[in-house]
Amino acid sequence: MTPAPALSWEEESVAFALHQESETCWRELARTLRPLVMARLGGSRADCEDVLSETFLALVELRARGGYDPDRAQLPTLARSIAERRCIDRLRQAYRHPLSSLDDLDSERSLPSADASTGVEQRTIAAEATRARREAFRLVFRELQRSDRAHGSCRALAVFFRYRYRIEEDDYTFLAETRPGQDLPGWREVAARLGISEEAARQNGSRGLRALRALWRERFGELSGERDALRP
Amino acid sequence: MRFGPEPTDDRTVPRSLEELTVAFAQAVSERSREPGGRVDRGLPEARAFGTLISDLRARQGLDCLELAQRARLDPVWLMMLEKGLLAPEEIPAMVVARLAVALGRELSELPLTPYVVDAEPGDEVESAEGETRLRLGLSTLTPWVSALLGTAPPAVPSVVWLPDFDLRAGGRRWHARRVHLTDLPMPIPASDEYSWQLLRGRRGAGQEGWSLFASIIESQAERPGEVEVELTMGTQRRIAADPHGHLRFERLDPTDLEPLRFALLRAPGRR
Repeated sequence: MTPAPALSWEEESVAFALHQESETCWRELARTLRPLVMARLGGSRADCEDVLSETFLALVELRARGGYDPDRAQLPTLARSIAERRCIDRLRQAYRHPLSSLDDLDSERSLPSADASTGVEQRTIAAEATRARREAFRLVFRELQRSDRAHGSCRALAVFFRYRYRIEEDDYTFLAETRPGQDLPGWREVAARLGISEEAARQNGSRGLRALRALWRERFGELSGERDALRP
Repeated sequence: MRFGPEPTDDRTVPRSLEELTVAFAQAVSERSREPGGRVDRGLPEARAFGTLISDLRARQGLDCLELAQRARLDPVWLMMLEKGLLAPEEIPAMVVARLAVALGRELSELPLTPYVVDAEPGDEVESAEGETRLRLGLSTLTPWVSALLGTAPPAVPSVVWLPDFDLRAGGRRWHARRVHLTDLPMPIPASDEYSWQLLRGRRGAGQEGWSLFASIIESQAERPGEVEVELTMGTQRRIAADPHGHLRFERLDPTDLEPLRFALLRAPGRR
């Protein structure tokens, strides 16, 4: 059952539409939604709170666009439907990109350490290689951003949103791949983040990837597709 | 209520994730009541940067409160940054640098910043009568991030060069140059070659903390400024005076860098 706030939800919904929600509105709404979101997400507290904050942000944005009508749906009802959609998105994302397992890919942590001194040496070399790759990627990425700025396009950011999990893992092999991976965020998500159409996101992303490949080749030579071979 | 990146006394900082959710909702709702009414003021660059920080944080197993604490930020403000709601001018370069340190990355290792490329904030010098405030830009902060991460080889001293600035009082001006913050117990000399010879083996200032050096000259007379200056660096306050204008502010904690202010306490002909 939805607990009652200081005002009834009917009154609170009208107050919210008028930018005058009560002090307790958000707290009560969070208390109402939390069990549902926790159940959907399987108990992750941080994920649950993130979904709740995204839900509240969506409500405020809806109101700011003049799209909230308290006669059509009271706050808890609308918030519940937004939260459920966000939970589904979150679960889909977690299925594709389980972040906890990505930690194992951290080159600095996953090196063998049978011999302590060799381990330190190898870790230092690996850390330097990682740094060099990051700096090299940043260099070509900024070059593309400059070109985007001159041409009014958003190729670099479309590539970032599409390949961000790889970039964050320091895995730049996507630059050499000819077929897109199955685990990438969809163009719809990229489009939403850039505020453009799905087709425009796809075009910017594809052109951006080609441009980045060319820039990498120009500066650091041929791409072989192997992770270490992309070391500049 | 408008608020900035740092926690302030007039706002209760959330202490749990549950409190943060509610405080965030209240803050964005308040923001939507401001003139213009837009909640999302971020450029695509700022949205991308927010996503990057949020992802890197999650990869390190940190929640928003933990990262905010590490980077000395207001968690509600950090959440706004992560969700790409902030305009570039609302994001000081210092915050980007602090986040880089908190996430263990050099600034040059972050694929992007929240700013339009080549329009990143530079140093700003704000001079008022008797006091000057410095706001450091992204380039100036790059060696600061490296120094705090400790990524430089052990034999290389850490030096953060700050912009030149003027101190004004009573219609007169004193110019500060060669302003630098370093972990060495002595200023870096003008010639790099000479400095290398001089600095070798002179490290070990760790126990003394860092020092900030500046050379002051009286602008009109072009002679050393006989001044007494107070430095405010974060929560630290130091006073230095020298008849030849060679100021040294000692025992500084480099992590506590902002706000950075210089106040003229005493100068010849000025009370």
